[in-house]
Amino acid sequence: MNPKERVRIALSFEEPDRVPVSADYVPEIGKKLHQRVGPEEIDVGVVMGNDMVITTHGFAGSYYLKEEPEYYDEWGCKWKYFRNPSGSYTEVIERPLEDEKKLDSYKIPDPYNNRRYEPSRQIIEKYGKDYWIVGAIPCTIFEVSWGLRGLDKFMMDMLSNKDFAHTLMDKVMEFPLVAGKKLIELGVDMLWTGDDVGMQTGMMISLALWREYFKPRYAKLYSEFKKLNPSIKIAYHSCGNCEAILDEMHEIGLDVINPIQPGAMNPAHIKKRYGKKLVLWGTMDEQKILPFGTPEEVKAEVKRLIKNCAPGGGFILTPAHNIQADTSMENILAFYEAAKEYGQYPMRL
Amino acid sequence: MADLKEIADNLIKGNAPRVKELVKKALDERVEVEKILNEGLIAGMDVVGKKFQANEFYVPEMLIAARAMKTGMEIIRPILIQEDIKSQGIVVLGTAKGDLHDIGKNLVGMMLEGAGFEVIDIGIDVAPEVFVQAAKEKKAHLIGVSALLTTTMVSMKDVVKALKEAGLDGKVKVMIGGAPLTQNYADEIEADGYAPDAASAVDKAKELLKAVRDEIRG
Repeated sequence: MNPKERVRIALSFEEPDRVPVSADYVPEIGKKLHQRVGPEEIDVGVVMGNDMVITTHGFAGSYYLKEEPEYYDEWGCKWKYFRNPSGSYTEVIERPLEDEKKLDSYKIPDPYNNRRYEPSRQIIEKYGKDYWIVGAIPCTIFEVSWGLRGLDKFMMDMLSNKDFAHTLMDKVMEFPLVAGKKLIELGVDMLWTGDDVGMQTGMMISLALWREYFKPRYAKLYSEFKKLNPSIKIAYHSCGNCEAILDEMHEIGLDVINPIQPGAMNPAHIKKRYGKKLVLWGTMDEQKILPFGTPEEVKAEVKRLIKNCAPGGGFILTPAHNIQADTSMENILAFYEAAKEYGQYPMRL
Repeated sequence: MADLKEIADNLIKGNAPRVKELVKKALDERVEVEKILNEGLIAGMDVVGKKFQANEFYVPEMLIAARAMKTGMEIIRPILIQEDIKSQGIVVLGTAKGDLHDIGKNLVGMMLEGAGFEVIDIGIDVAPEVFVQAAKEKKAHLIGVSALLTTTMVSMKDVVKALKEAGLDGKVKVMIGGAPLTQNYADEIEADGYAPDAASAVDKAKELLKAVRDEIRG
């Protein structure tokens, strides 16, 4: 069974030959892995054992975009590298819409330019036959809005400057809408949307605000995508605890929830409560076990997650974020090894 | 007649212009500034914190309430200084070395200010020795360190260490918070306290500084 078929069956809530697996990495880890498996591969994850290949568009692509210490992205944000003991992180240090008067003349990057999608076309050509192809458009609406405006300011706008907040969100959502359609036309198997609305302890914003700002916009995106290709699968990412919105996300067309951050939401509970209607993609802890545990602890956690979440399919095992620079090679290998060892169907755990 | 409850109510709603107006009016009517602070602004923020803990308020509601608090504080701060009215304690606040994610730190700062602490926010990506230097200079009672990333939280133990090396352990408390942090981790690195969210951080700061605060208040 090839990886594409494996993921397709799991997403139909059936059991393939084994639990599909995937992981994404920060650039430092990507480089280390490239050194191990050889630089000629475009997608190092495939060599590591990923069943899916991801091709990304939009604001999320601005992270680590260039190697210069400071750089501008095409949205007009200025980014800077900040070093930490094991690697680095890029963050926005200058935002184009700090002054709200600039919104009228602000233009988003052109999503219609077909040249933009050339790397995706190449990925599909190279991997599309054997691997599940994910067209990623995360930082879909909210994260790009606050990226341009500032998080504190944008969240206050949502309460006390509503027209501005709605106008900004409408403006930026043209990008994922167009990019998503282009990716569908190119032949991706799944679209991956996302906006972080959860914190470690619960929702960052109220359900009332979510229903006012997010739900109608996501409903529009998802219905347009499914109108173009009814069999396209749609995934949504939010860090933290976002259980409050899962029923309504399913209602507007969501198929797959990512990453079920296990320090904030219990994957076993989510499986029990939503496992018949939403595919779980994620669940591997990255706040404690993957960076700080031993390889044995990593394997034990993988086994536990598979036991709780894999029965009946509907599960892709993946770390809850891209693997961070503080994670040892031993733990990364242990993750993949254990996924294969314990992930065999029919399950014997 | 100035109505302090009206100040609190408007603060809770995040109506900054109205809070400004009402605080000015109260001052014009010669209401004691400490009363405006405690029964108007702090009383309002206390409700905001409780609503946050009860999942009635979320981050946006907290932010607009804190903005209203700040507007009120700007008017009364010069008078507080002039009348030498002491705060609940001085807190130096920043994110861990290498960490840029500051929404959590900002919320903690707002809630602490809202509870009557003097907050010195030294920003993002703060080296351990800078935390200690600032605490010394500002005669702080508490250092608060925030981190979102597992790659940056490890520098928190260096803050505790640097404080010891400066001979300030015990005199200046260290409190930590952020998504990957836990009470266990705080214990492991010998930080004095941990709080899971901004509202609980106020309770924790009060608890840690109780002895110090009694001293300040005489």
